Amino acid sequence: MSLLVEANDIRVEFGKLIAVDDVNFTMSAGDLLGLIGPNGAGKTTLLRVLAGLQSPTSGSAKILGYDVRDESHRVRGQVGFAADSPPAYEEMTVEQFLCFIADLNGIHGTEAEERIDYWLDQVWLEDKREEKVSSLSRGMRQRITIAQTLLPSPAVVLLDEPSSGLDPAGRIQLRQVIASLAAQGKAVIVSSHILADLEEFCTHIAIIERGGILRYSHVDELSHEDTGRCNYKMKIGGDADHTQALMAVEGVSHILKRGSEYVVQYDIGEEAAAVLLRNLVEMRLAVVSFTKIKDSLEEVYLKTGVRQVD
Amino acid sequence: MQYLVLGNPMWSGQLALQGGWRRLFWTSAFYALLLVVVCAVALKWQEFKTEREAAIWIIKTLPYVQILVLFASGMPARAKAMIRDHTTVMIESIRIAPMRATSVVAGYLFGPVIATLIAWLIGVVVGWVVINAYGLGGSGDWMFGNAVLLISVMTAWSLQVFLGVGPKKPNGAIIAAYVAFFFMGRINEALQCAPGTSLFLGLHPAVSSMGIMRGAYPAQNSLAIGLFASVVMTLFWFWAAVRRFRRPESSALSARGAVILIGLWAMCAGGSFLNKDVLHAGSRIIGEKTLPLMGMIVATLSMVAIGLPIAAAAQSFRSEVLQSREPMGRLKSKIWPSAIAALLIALMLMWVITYAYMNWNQKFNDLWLVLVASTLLYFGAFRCGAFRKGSTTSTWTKIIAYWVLPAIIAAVWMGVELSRDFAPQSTRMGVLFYLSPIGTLISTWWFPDSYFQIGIVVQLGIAIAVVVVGYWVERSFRRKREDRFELDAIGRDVPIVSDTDTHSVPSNNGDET
Repeated sequence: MSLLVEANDIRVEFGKLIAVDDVNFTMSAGDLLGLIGPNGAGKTTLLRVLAGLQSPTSGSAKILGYDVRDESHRVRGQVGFAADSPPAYEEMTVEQFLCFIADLNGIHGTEAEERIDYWLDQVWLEDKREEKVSSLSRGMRQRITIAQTLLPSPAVVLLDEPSSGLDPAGRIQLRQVIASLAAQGKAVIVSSHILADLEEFCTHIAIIERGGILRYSHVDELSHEDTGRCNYKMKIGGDADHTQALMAVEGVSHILKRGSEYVVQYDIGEEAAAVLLRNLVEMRLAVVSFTKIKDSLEEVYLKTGVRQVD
Repeated sequence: MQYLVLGNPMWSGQLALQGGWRRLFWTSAFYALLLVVVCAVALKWQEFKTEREAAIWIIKTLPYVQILVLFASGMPARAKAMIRDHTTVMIESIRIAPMRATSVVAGYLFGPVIATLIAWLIGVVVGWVVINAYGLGGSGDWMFGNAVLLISVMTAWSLQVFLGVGPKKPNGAIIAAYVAFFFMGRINEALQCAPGTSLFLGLHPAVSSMGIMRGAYPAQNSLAIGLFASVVMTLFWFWAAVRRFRRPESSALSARGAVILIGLWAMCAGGSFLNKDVLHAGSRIIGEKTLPLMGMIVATLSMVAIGLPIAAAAQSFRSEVLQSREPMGRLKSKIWPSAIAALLIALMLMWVITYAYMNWNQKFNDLWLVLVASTLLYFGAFRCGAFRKGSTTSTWTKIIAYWVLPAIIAAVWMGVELSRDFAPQSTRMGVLFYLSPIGTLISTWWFPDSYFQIGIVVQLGIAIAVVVVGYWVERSFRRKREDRFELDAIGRDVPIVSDTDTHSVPSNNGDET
């Protein structure tokens, strides 16, 4: 399958500051990448490079196989970029503004009207159609930004903090919209500090620190990629305390007991889980249930030891 | 849906922002009504003997209104639009839209000034009606003068767009400068002999157009050069704006563009020498001993004209140096020899003309020499900075430190000496004075017989030294860079495999990409 996004050794320097440090990754249709990292880590700069708004000091970014700098005329219109501060003309009405965006992207007439209707409906702004942008709240402007970004139907969507300012219902709706984009075969990159959202809809996660990618993996593999450490929840029959017995098992480093339930931290890795289970059975423990506990994205993020950029 | 598509999305957007056609219609109608009322009041209440006299007064006054409308109304309108796009970050949405850059620049050129252009057209029509209604004659001059005005204004407008499409929010300095030009008549006249400045910025034909509207044509060669320069400069700024819109974080001009700009300026300077009468008129004003301030203003304006290409060239340097750190051979485009050659040609031209016209103002000529020396110095300093640190003297603080601070220190010191009666008034100018172009200019104007020669010699000496140092710095930089690339090439022979090098995302169907 052809690649929609290619980041090849992208490096961006602002004087002595390295904003993006030799970043590499590729994305295909349907991939949904979440960028997480502290403020000033370089997420926005990376998105701006991919959008063609910032030239890399070295390396290259390709969209649909075209270099965003040298072949920008082929890339424009294929990338939708929603900045963290909602750009909009406050003097226009919501409809006028979306008309302008459609016009800017070469969409006219009936098609423009249909798309505007569709996206106003999608972002719940149908009833605000005739209102001036200046009269809208921060969250509503954020919705306009999402509509503005997606109206031209770009192949690659870059969203910088799309959830900021959105109410809970708006966030749920945004998750649905983003998931539908991936289903349409678009490549989506979302930079966000709301990790629970990213965990829900992203296929991949990249943790960025000081411009470089600290970790990058499929969202399902993220929790134990580096350490091999897994947590298992098990229920053991009987009233006796089996903590000491469990501690004797090789690889078990930590145990948390809640009634007859035990949460065991096992350091050898997922592949050796069968060995753990066999050891438990050999010890004649009545294992009633045995379940792997997945780390939340927040836990994974904290475990990586990402520091706040000075 | 209250949105009218005009062919260029920027025009449509700006129209919507201005309130749509209906709002524009009423504004225009109000303006037309205002003009008619003013004309009627003038005809009724002014003490003209005949209506024809009143009509002549209107036609003499209306050119000022026309120029006011295009400059004092058009430029702020565009500045407002561009500042708004920067503030709301809309300019970034426009940058990534699949629009041609030429359309965007044309959009900024005309979109925000639709109302201004309509007002100007109304003025043209009102003037034409007055001329024909009272049989004044010269309706052709009126129309031609307005056309010349529009062409010259286009130079200023396209320069404004060029400044506005950069990475930073534009400020109002350019508007203030242009508006000031037209409301300080003596400066206009004096500007005519500042080599190339008035042509370079589209001022000369704009001033000429006012005379043409009244039937007073300037010398043919002056008009031809003015119009030609306006068209060329408009195209140049338009082209530069197109490039800058696409690459806002790069240098404002490409290396080639900076050289072309310096060449155009030299051409404008050369062209202005062809009009002997204008030069002499200007030189007389500059030479008036009662107007040293005027000379200073003209000299400063000349420096601004020179500073534009120099700043652009310096930015090109920086960009070239930064780019050259990665791929080999990127530093092919060497701007500085071309730029210095262009300046030296202009300097030689200046001297040739000076000797050809014996009554040319020598003081202004000397000033011009100081400016060229300062320019070389500035250029060399930029060059050293670029190759030593990979960055240029880009902050205003550094510029002020170089241009103004030595003059201030020297002036204070001179004041102290004078107050103590330590030295005769005409001779004591600190040596520090001559390190600053401003200081040299002041000493040249106020004390022409004392340290002038020393000032020039000091400046030229420093300029040459800095250029030579710049040459060695660049040579050292190139050598180090080549060494580093050789090391890199050796290092790349060893394959480095790391699982963190490339992160591949598997596609949905499970294929590894």
